[in-house]
Amino acid sequence: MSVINRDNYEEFIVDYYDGNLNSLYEEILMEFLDDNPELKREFKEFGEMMSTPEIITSSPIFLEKESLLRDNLYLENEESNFNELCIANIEGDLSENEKQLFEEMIEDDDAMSREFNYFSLTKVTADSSIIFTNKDKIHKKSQRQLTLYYSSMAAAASIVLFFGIRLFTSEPSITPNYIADNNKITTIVALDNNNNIKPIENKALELSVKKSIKSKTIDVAKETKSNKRTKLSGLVTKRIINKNSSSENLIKAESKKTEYSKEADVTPIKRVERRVKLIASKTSLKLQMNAIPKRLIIQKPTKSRINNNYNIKDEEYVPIRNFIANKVDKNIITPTKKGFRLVNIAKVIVVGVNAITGSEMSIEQKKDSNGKYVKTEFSSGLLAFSVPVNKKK
Amino acid sequence: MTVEEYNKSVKLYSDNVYRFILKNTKDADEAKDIVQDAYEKLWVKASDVEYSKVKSYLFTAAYHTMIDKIRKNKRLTSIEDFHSEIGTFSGQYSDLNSVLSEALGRLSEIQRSVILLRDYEGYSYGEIAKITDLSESQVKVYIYRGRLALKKYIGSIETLV
Repeated sequence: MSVINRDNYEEFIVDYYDGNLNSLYEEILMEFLDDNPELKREFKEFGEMMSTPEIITSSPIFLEKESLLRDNLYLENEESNFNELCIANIEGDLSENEKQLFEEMIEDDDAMSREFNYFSLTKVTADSSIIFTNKDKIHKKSQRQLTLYYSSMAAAASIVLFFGIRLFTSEPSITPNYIADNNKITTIVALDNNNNIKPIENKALELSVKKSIKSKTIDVAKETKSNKRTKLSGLVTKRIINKNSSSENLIKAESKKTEYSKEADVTPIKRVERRVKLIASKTSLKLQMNAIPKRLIIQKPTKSRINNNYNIKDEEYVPIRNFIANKVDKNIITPTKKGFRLVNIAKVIVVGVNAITGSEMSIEQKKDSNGKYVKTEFSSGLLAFSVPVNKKK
Repeated sequence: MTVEEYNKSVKLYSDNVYRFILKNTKDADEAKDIVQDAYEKLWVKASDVEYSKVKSYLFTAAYHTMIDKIRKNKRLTSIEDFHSEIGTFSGQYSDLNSVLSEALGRLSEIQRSVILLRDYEGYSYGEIAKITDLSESQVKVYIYRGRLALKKYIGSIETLV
């Protein structure tokens, strides 16, 4: 295939007329044009066009060059130049030499001095009394501050949770101090040989009996706690003794609502039995095992409140621990739209506390006009505070 | 830029930006909004902005926000209100500052802004050009024309007094 063909001949024609083709390519081009007469005619027309020079007849010229020429740019006494000089002096755009010349120029001319003074007055100064008062709104908390904030919130929530659960799941224990301080035993009684109840008149004996009961009650309480759940635990009785009555119902017992007790009376009997044995060993009085236990047994035993499972069937007797566990499982642990949040735990605890104590504590999350949570508020009878919700970066 | 550097810039430059914007808008609430908006933009770009360039970044962001608001307000303003905003000398001036303040209010936004950036913050022509998105020569021309207008106003007041 030839170097020059119908697809690239025009380039070679232009190069030919520009004088960029060597003799070899010129010869090849002529041979190609001889083989293609119609292209040869085109080649000649192109040659005629390239040989005529372009005549520019409409180029604009600037006729006022003279007005732009200056002998000395700054020292001509014209108003516009003078204004520029004054402003340049104020802005610091003059060199030292030019500045000196300018000052010499206006020194002897009052009008120029006055004009320059007006220009000097155009320099504005900032009023330092104007300050931006919303700096706190644009301050951002550092990572350390954020970490501290979340840590303190987590610690506070943990403390509330801990004390909330502990408060309502702790078992009232029968300790010597508990019994003595709360006057659970108002009077120690004993039976005489005729099975008649009579108070212990000997104070010393009464005290020694009390002491012995105290010392042994601890053992009883400990042993009871370590037993299985079916045994009695947390039994608190309040024994009211009517000294004037001689009936068998002389000693009445009342149980508090918060007490646990098993329906079966076997364990209480054993427990009281130990006390009876102790008293008998320490005193010369005979104490009837059958009589005293009967009188010391709770007159109106409550139903069992300890369930082996956490199913809440009878709300009247639901232990607080079960109640809290059920609520936590329903509202927090079980996946919900709300998710696992500390504020939900706190709300559950507050509800539980209010139900038990009758207080009116509350935890609320406040929203702004756009429906976004801005702060969490806690209030009770004695204390109220709010914690803002920080926006994340 | 760290959080500490950001908070430091709040302490150092928020007053300056506020004064600049307030002098332009003459509306304290709007000026506060613009400043807060500028800092929010800085916070978003905190990882990209070097601390050494924080001041110019703040002024740039605040200036552009201000110009947008001014132009938006102008579009919403009726012709009658516009003429009334021009204002005339209605009483005696207590001091030069009030005269200057009045004179500045009569300048265009760009002339006023470049003069305030020059006098309040001492920015060079090049720095002002970056902030205002103009060329250096344009900045120089605006400053020269602005000072000339201020001088003429002051001179006319002096003449009246």
